[in-house]
Amino acid sequence: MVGKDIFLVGKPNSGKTSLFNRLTGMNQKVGNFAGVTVDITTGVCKGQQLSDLPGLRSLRSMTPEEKISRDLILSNPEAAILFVASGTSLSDDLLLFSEIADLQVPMILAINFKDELSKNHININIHQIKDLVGCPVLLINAKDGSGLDELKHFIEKSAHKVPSSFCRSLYEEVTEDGVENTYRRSMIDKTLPVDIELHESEFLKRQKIISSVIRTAVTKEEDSEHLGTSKKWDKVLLHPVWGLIVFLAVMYLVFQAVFAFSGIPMDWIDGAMSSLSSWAGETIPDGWVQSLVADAIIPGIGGVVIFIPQIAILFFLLGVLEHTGYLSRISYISDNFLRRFGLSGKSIIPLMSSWACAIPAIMSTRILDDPKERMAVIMASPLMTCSARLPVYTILISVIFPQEGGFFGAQGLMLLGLYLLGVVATLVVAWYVTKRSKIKGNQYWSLELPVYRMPNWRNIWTTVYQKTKSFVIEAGKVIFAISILLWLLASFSPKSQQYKEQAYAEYKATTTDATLLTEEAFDVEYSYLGYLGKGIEPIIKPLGYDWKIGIALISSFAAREVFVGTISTVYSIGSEEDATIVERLRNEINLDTGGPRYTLATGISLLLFYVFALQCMSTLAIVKKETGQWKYALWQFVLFFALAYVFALAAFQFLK
Amino acid sequence: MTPSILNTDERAMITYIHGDREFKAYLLHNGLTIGSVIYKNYSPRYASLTSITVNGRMISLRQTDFNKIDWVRI
Repeated sequence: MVGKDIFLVGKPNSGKTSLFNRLTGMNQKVGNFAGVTVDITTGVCKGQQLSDLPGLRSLRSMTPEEKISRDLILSNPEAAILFVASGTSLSDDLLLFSEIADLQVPMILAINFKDELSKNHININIHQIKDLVGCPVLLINAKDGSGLDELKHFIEKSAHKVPSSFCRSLYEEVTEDGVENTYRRSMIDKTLPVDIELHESEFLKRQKIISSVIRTAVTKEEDSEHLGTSKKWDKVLLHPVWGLIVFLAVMYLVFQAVFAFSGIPMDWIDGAMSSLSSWAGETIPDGWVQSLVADAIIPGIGGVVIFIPQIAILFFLLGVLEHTGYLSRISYISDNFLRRFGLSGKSIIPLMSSWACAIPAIMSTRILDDPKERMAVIMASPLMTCSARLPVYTILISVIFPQEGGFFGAQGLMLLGLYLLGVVATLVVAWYVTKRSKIKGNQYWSLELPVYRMPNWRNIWTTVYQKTKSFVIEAGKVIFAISILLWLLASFSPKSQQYKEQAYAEYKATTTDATLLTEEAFDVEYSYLGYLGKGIEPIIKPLGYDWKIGIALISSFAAREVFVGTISTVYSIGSEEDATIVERLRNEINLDTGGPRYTLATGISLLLFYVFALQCMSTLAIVKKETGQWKYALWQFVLFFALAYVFALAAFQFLK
Repeated sequence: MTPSILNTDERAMITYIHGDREFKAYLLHNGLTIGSVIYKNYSPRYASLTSITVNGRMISLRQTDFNKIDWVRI
């Protein structure tokens, strides 16, 4: 039997979730960045139900995550409040404490970051604070658990106490039945006009009461040493020159690390899944079950787990940046530039993450507190060049630009151009979404710069684990389903086996072409997927593509990188080596013109198609998960496909 | 509006806030109102942001928003 409801409440970045994890033994995400908790999480501590609420600046704040906390506190007057205050900004946190105290609900005040207080020689006289607030007060450190035994004892014994009131007297109204206090009602009733003068006088009164005690109870509180150290760091890290150099270096390292460290485990996963697939093909008797397991289920699972290294590494590095407090500084540095596109500095993290993979990038948009900006980044970030586009770009560039040409050769410049085009397209779409979206954005913007702290490795690993698990479960379901659908389309044919064998025999007898199709490739032509390829040929012909490229386009709607594997099969290329693929593509003949199929015009057209087209079902699944609606994923898919078609068409028609 | 510029490491008290009720309420929720003591940290030109310390927290506001705040040096 779970006892009383206790809400864990505090200002953003006061250490609530660290404390919640310590008290309940759970593993919720923690960071050194305001707005980490965006949902309510519930756990049990000493028989009492503990809920971790999103950070709150004031009971009158109305951002979406603050509204969750505010509504829950106001609609549950019987619940107790465990208020977590940051010891390093106690006077500010006590302002919120006093607002909740005036609701006259039972409370405990836990003052966190005991370690930082002693490190920075800040002394807090707990007895004086107790006299001020009139409820139990404890000094704790959620990071190392000190002071938590006493806190757990308090929770077990339900030692909460209704605190002193601060400004309730301002809300007393004389009615026929006597004196009524309207404080709670004024908070709940949203139809009441906002009386800013009353709020200001109330705020000043709270500030005056709290300041008078803080002045004697806390030494070195205002502009204390802990801020001094952070300010010294900021003098370098936010410097117009050094700050930008450090920022670019850090981003370069993060970007490189995601590629460098994920390569080996991704190859290992790829190899393991291929071996597993081969093993299934040899072990399971011939038939559709073998094909389903070896060609659809195992590759489908492989298509999900192969992204785990990139996601884990990216979130680990972002976790380090976030926990140290540098993430906020990156936002600070990039804010001015991004503002021109309707975004803020906080968008830089998901946008840069998209270079590795749009999936973790879209998941990381939760750090954005402006709903309109968040939607813009979710909608635009898949246009950044993700790592899955790279194999497609590499092969197509090699086909159309045979000469490497050294450091500044055409191949390198083309690749750089494609990356830049992705950035420009992202910013334009983000700008368009912020201009056109009906979602109400935040009119004002502020950024809290947290003090620099050493990362808490346990909490970082927790974040990495949760993000990865979330991806595998949520995106995995969709990838798996579409992989099976594609297998069905590629494996079954409206024609009988006998018909296909006869047709292949006739084809072999009449064809003297060097690029003779294997029976496997010939089968693809007669599959439902092959018919789809031929069915869309009239649509893609103006782009310079034939039905074989059409099949590659359809199959790579699941994931871009499938393009390479599909053209290998369709052109009957058995070799695993890229060079062989490149040569075969170069030698492919256009039956209409008699010239090469992959001309400069066709190649550029295909490259532009892959710059814009949203061929990644994992991304669509994550967009649906993060926005809660399929319509946004569908809008994105249609818009990006339209852009891809128009750019590819223009390029082919102009260059042919 | 306050004509002069608050320099880095200078302390000031807010005397008036221009703008609508929503803006005043937003600042209030960030601990800024008439009578609040602020401490200027930095405002590099490239950022168009002003970073201040109020009640022991470092907050950055857009320069245009900060310009709506009147203050006196203390």
